[in-house]
Amino acid sequence: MKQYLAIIKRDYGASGGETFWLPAPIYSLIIVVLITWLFASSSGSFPAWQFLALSILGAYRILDDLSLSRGHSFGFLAPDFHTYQFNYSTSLVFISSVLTCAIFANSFYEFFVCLSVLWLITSSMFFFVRKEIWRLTGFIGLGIYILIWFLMIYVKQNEYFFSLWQKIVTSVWSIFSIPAIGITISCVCLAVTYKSFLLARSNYLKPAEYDPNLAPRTWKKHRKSSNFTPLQLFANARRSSKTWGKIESRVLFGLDIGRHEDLLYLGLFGAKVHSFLLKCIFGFLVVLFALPLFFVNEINHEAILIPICIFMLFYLVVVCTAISLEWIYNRKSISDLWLLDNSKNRRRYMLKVAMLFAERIGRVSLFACAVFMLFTLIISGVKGGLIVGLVALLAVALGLLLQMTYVLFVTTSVKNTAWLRYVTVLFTAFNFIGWLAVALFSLQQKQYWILALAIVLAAGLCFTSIKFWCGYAKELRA
Amino acid sequence: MNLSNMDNLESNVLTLNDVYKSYEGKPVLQGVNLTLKKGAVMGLLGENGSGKTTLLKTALGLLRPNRGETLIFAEDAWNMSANTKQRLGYVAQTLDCFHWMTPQELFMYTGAFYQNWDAIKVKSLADKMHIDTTQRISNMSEGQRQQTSILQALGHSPELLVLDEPVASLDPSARRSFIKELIDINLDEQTSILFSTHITSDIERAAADIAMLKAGKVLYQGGIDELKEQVVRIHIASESNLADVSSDPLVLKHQVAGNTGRLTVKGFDVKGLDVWEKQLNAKITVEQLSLEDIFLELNA
Repeated sequence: MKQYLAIIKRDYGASGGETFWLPAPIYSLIIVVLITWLFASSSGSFPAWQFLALSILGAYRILDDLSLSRGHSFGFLAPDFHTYQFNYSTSLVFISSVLTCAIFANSFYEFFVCLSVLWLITSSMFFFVRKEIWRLTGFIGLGIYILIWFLMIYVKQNEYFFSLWQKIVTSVWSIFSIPAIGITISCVCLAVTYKSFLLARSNYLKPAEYDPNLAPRTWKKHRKSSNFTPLQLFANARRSSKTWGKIESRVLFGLDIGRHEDLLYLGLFGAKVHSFLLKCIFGFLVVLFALPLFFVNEINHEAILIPICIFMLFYLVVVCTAISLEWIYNRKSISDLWLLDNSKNRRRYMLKVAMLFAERIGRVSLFACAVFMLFTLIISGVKGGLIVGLVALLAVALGLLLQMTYVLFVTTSVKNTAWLRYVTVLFTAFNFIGWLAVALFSLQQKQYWILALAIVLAAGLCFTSIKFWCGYAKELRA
Repeated sequence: MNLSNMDNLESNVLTLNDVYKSYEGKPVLQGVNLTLKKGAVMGLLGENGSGKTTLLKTALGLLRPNRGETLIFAEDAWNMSANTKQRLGYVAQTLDCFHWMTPQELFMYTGAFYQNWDAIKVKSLADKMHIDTTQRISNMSEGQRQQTSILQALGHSPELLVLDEPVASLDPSARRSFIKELIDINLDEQTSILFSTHITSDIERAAADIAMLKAGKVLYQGGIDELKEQVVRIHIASESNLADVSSDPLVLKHQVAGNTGRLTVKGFDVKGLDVWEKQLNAKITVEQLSLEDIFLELNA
């Protein structure tokens, strides 16, 4: 028992460590809560695909931990470590799936059917833990993520897809409505699950070579890895395609262009893992962002702006959080790079460094705004497009000012604690969403003074923080 | 398997038989044979890239040999049982995990997986090494991390301790006290120890045996004293010009100028000194070499 307690403690500790990832037990709990909420909000007619998608995501995250023991020597040499880790992850999948099925099902029969289908899917996922098939996993993982997002956004917008999806769900569900068939299918599912589980177990516990490159992010600090987080899956898939690499380098032109020779810039941001992470997020979101283009002719033009706007906000929040955290984590190198820079004095140097951050975060945000404006021009015409685009630009500009204030304050005053990353995520989200709401409200209600006041306030705060930053006389520590 | 082989297996805690290991076609270990006897302390010496880390990892079953056999406590290292793992301790070159933990948390976590984890012993060793067990590992210096890693490996009093360059990041005083600790552990608990290092003085201080590795092959395995007796430098002063000795397989290095010469020879036998003197019609003096000199000569 003490081994399992040690693993649980480790997981909770890891969440406060170096990554965005929540520990698997919390993650599974969130999935359960989310499903309950969706179930309640859909007043009893809970869509099966959402249930399945969320459950699979939960299981996927939990199984991600299985790759832990492949990434460092302790996992190999501690007695029975693999077995304990396997049992722990399996139990979590078991408990969370039972809970979600219990919430979802209206009867014992439904519970049984759901559980058997869910276990069949999750047990097959155990095979993806091994390194040999990580590339395949990468593509499958990427596919699942794109599909989930696609369904979440388009199914309700597009009548054709919606009805098609409904038909599929209804016909599948109608098969299960006959108890004899349902129970037979479920029993077959359980039998296959049992077999595949045993196979996966023996596959996992089979001796394997120690590969430090497999060390997952949740366990190690700032190391590249081949684990199974969605971003890594994307990166794996990305690396295997030359064409994709070319596309990405074109898309990323706004991020590093003209800075490849700047030593200070490279020292601060070059070859750091968060830059890598950022590219992955960026590339991933660009794919999602481009998807509406395929359906422009099929649905209401105005309605398509909503998902694009959501994507833009999502993109901004994720990318700005990543850049902010990258900066906060790398703050120690700011002190070191002082020796290499040719600034007149430290004040000038600090200003230069702050401007580099502003430039980096500004470039990606402006790029997002430009893409968004392009969409609005295509969809709403020149006049409407310009208005919507300018509102977005205004909101982003305000958001950047406050983001800068936050980051400069945190860099000098807050220690790298467990909650810093979550606070940064929340702050960034509220920052952009809040300013967008302010900009929309003041323009719609023609209360321009609110906007003017917001601009003055944000600019004032930013100016003060830069002034404080330039005069900061203490050493910056990681 | 006959009885004497069985006895050998019992007395050897670690055995590598003709082990080959390559990475992506590039050979790293080439037919390595190595044995570590129960209670012995062996230093593994080799240049950078000679395959020391690969050898240690292969010996522990962290890597699978392409060919050959690796046995730990007479059990295949690749398929080691949990019981055998209980008897093992390993210190990697760098602490390869848990940077967000404090040493205290790390020891508690590690201890959960070992039956005979001795928290009191770890605590007293930590005090001795002046390790603050409440600060995060990520905030520690490289040397402190190394010490933490050593404590992590010692907590369950392993019968075999394998250390990959354990003193590389330690300062001279910490290094010296660590070596002393290693000797004490060996004497008190009869722990067999295999450690790799670049620092020959540490091997001389801590180990009785040595294995020298060059380009994935073991050049020498045996006692340090025997090695020192076998590899010496001889100074020759002859009345006539010296003959060419470069083709002699015993000569590792030679420097001949006219009627004087300086040779480093392997497999030197003091009994043969007279024969040499007569053969070369010269006066020969023998110079004992330090382990570092021997290492350099053998790797030249």
